[in-house]
Amino acid sequence: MKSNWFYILLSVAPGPRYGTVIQDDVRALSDGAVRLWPATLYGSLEELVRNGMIEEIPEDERPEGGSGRERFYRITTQGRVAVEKESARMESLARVARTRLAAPELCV
Amino acid sequence: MSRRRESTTRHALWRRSYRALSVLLPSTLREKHGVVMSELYARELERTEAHGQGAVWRVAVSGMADLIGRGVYERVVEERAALAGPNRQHLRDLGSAYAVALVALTTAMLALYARSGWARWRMREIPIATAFEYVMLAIPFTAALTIPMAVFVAVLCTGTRAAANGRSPSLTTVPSGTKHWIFIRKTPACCALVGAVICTNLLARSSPEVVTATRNDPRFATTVPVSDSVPPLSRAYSHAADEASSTTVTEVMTPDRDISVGALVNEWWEGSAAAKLWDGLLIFAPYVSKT
Repeated sequence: MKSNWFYILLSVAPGPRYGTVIQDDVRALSDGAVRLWPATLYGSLEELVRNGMIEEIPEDERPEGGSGRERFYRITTQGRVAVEKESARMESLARVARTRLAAPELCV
Repeated sequence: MSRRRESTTRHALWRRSYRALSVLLPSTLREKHGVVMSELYARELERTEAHGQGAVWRVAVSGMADLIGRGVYERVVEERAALAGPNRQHLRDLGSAYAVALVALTTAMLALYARSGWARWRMREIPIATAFEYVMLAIPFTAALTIPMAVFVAVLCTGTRAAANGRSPSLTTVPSGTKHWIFIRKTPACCALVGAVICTNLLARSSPEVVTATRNDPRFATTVPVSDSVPPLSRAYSHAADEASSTTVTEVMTPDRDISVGALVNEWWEGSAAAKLWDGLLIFAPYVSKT
């Protein structure tokens, strides 16, 4: 999974959010390491919608707040499963890396 | 105050440039998010203002680069989606048919050239390596000449096969009840037409003996120097020109206007753009007539 996708899914996991908030949230989640530029942000959002990982909330169901022009997105079940799988994969990778790095140096 | 206005003007310029560049994005994405994207871009610029002009420029350029990169990516994704499934299969079929046709036609033309030149090369005691070099040098020119015909053959074959299998998108307009196999009949018909046109032109020029014998009238035959009849492009090939300058070819000339169907077809063919292309093929005519 692309890192952009992963962070966007993480951002919308707790509840519906719109573009600008997602951008700020992703920057905060990654400690400033991931900066979503406008084209990448909205392009990725569209891709995630196409892949069924997030969905756009219809106009009549939009939460209060904002100027009313914002498009809110929420995570779908498929998106949640994808994030869980990716997290498990990264966790396993990190575990392997930690084990290998902690092992004493061997001469082969 | 004036500094603030200057900054806003500069941001407006950046923003306008950004909006202008957003044409790179597919229209669906642009119409849906174009305005918000440029607002977000302007917000990024305003946030960076405190870090100096260098930072603003860096952010502005990065945003533009992101827009360009994303635009290209989205276009590629869009094109790939359009080519998915049957369309991609059609292209693959067309590509393989084209490759086969090009190789087959080029090989046939080269074989003809080698066959016609072989006796002469032997007579002049030209080494095999040199004869091989002659043939190798003729490859690019011959391949270039066979490209249009290979495209034609490939389109014909692929289209016919797809139509026969009921896979052609154009078949959606065919009335129901039409048998698909009727499209196959178009192939021999088109091949026959092309063959007839080629024969009336190429054969008449390359084998005057055949034409003279057919017409049974030797008055139609006259001799012209080959250097006048060979097109300029062929003269670029020094090997061919060297050989051609030492020979003559008999061309068929009609004293009066012939109004037979063959003559009319030939007249039409002479004036067409395709004839100019086929004239290039006549580089081989002297060799054919010699044999």
